[in-house]
Amino acid sequence: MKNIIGRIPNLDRREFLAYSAKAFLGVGLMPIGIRSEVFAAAAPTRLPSAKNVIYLYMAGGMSHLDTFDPKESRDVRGPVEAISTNVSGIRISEYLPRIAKQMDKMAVIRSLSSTQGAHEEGRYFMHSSYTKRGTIVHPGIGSWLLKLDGARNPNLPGVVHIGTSNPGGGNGYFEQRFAPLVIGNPEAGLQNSKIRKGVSEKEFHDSVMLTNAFDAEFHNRYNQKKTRAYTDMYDDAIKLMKSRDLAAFELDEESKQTREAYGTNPFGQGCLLARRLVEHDVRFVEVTLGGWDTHINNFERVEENAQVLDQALASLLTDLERRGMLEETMVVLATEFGRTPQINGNDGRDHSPTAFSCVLAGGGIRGGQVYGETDTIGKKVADRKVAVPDFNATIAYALGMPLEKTLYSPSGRPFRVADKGIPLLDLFG
Amino acid sequence: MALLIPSLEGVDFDKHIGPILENKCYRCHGEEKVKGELRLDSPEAILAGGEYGDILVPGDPSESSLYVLTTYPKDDPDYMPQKGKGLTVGERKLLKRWIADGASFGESFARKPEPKTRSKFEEADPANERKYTIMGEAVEIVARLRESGLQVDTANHDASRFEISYTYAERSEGAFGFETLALLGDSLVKLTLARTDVSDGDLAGIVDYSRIEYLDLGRTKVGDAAMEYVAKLEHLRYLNLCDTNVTDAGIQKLASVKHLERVYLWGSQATADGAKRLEKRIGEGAVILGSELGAAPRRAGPRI
Repeated sequence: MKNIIGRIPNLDRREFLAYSAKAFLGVGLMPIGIRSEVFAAAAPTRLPSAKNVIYLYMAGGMSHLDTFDPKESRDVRGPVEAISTNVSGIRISEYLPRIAKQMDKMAVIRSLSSTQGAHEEGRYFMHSSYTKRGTIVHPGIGSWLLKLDGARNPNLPGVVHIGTSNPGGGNGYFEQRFAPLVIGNPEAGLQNSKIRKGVSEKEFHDSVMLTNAFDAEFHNRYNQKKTRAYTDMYDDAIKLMKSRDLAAFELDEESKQTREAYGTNPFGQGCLLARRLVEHDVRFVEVTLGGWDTHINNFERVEENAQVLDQALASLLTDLERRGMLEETMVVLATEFGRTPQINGNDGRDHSPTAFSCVLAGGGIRGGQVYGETDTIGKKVADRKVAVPDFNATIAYALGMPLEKTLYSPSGRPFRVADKGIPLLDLFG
Repeated sequence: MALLIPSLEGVDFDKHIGPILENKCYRCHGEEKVKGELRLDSPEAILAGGEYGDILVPGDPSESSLYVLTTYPKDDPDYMPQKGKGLTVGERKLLKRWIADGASFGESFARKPEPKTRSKFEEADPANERKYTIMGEAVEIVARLRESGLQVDTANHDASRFEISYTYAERSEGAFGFETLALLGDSLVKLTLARTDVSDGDLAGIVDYSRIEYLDLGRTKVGDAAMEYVAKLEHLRYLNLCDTNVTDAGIQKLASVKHLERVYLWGSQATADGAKRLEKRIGEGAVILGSELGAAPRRAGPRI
């Protein structure tokens, strides 16, 4: 309880404010006790705090055995050694030395389990929490977030995909304005996004007015959802072109040192771009790194790929941390399935959806932990299985999204952001 | 079994619906098996619903999964019944009409107001629904603030705490109008002024909001003079001063903030020396100055 006597001058000020608020804005002040009124519970425990997501997708089925879930048996691990990390008791593959020094920020989930062992179906399931079916296309988490909670920066798209757009990760049957902006090459900046040289601001403005005049005619006559979607997109494009925030896409603004630190390759630069976009309050940025489908020559190829991932993710986490962004930005590392402990005739590993690893960091996640376990050869889950919808429910929960909220497809089907997934609350706080 | 087609009479639960459920549904939703925590072998059970909540909305077949799931294509993963013969067209029609007409179980069954059974989601996280939903008096206050151009959100998805962002706020130049924040009073716990033109002097207006725990001044031109005011926020936990003009001298003033957990200084004018001095007073690990990112090691082998 406040010491009212000692703060009488402030009380007067508050009374004055209360009066002004009522007079000018027609509302009362939020009563001091609102917290206890609304929340009968005790002081809230550390709540999940994610506002934005950087989703790093390892396309092809990242071998968990050669990355985050190393095994002892020589038969299983081949030439790969395990190394310690900066968290005592947690060891990962020697292919990820820089990530090993960031383990205190990460929660490694070793007990992911999927029912989908083929690429297209696996990626779809991982991105949407629903199995692929011919009759409907489901939206991804980014589009759900935009639809339920809205964008924050009115001048930039709310969802961006860099590298490629994965099945199940788009706007599905949601309106066009929730669709991701897809950027093929992060270093190219935005195509067609600058006003053409030689066109003055006024000329540009006039041509927009003219187009609007024609559009208005068209719009009035065909005022349906689709038409408005087109004009919405157009308006958004105009806003984007004229926005100062367009600079978010300019990687040249970063120092050479920073660009090299992320790795001078599309994935590394894509992660750097993701950080910039999230700094400008783009809510969901997905960056894809392919090449993980190592049926042939597993070890060499995983080592190469892991080097790219290692450099980029370690830099990303350090960068987010030093900018104070890790509390509100959830970093996700996901893949569609894992790979077999058995090494095949081509020195490769084949698909294995029964057990694999994914990683979460930031956004309220407690770092430095391993969740779940696989058996001694890494084929089956031995402890705390996490179904794909549960993994997605955890991301949605961190973002404060309503898991029970049901939205209907055009054909009247009910769907939720993570289907029936239950979030892993143990990972937070 | 001959179905009575009630074209003129109403659909009767015992006569028309019960038999359908018995023949097509009890196998998985009855005494022997209780799939999805759902039983369909009594009115009470039907009303109680299953693991995901209610399956019946009287008057609205399209919201009743009891009906909707029977209308899916047979190869759909969610189609019901999953085992045995599906419902015939006639049976589906009956079910639909029964629900549309109010889903009455007959005069003999008096529907008691059931306590809402908890769905699996609620069990998993009982407070979740309440967290992000703005309630009561807060609704109008938030609406007013948004009308005045500010971005208002619940803070950390907790509906008893609020966050205001000025970054994309529509406001006339120089006018921060911190007075309007009084509407939220002690419920204002997060304030973002990142990438705005806020000046040191402007910040004098925020000292009244002593409940602020999180303050983001990143990428603004604030400097040491602003720290005078910021230091008065007794409950401040997180402070972002990245890319600002604060120096070693200014940040020392923050030592008086008891609960300060994290101060971010990357891109500011502070140095390792000043950061260390502050850290000695507020706690290890609390001051993050940051450093250059490590470059990729030069290695022999395939260049990517």
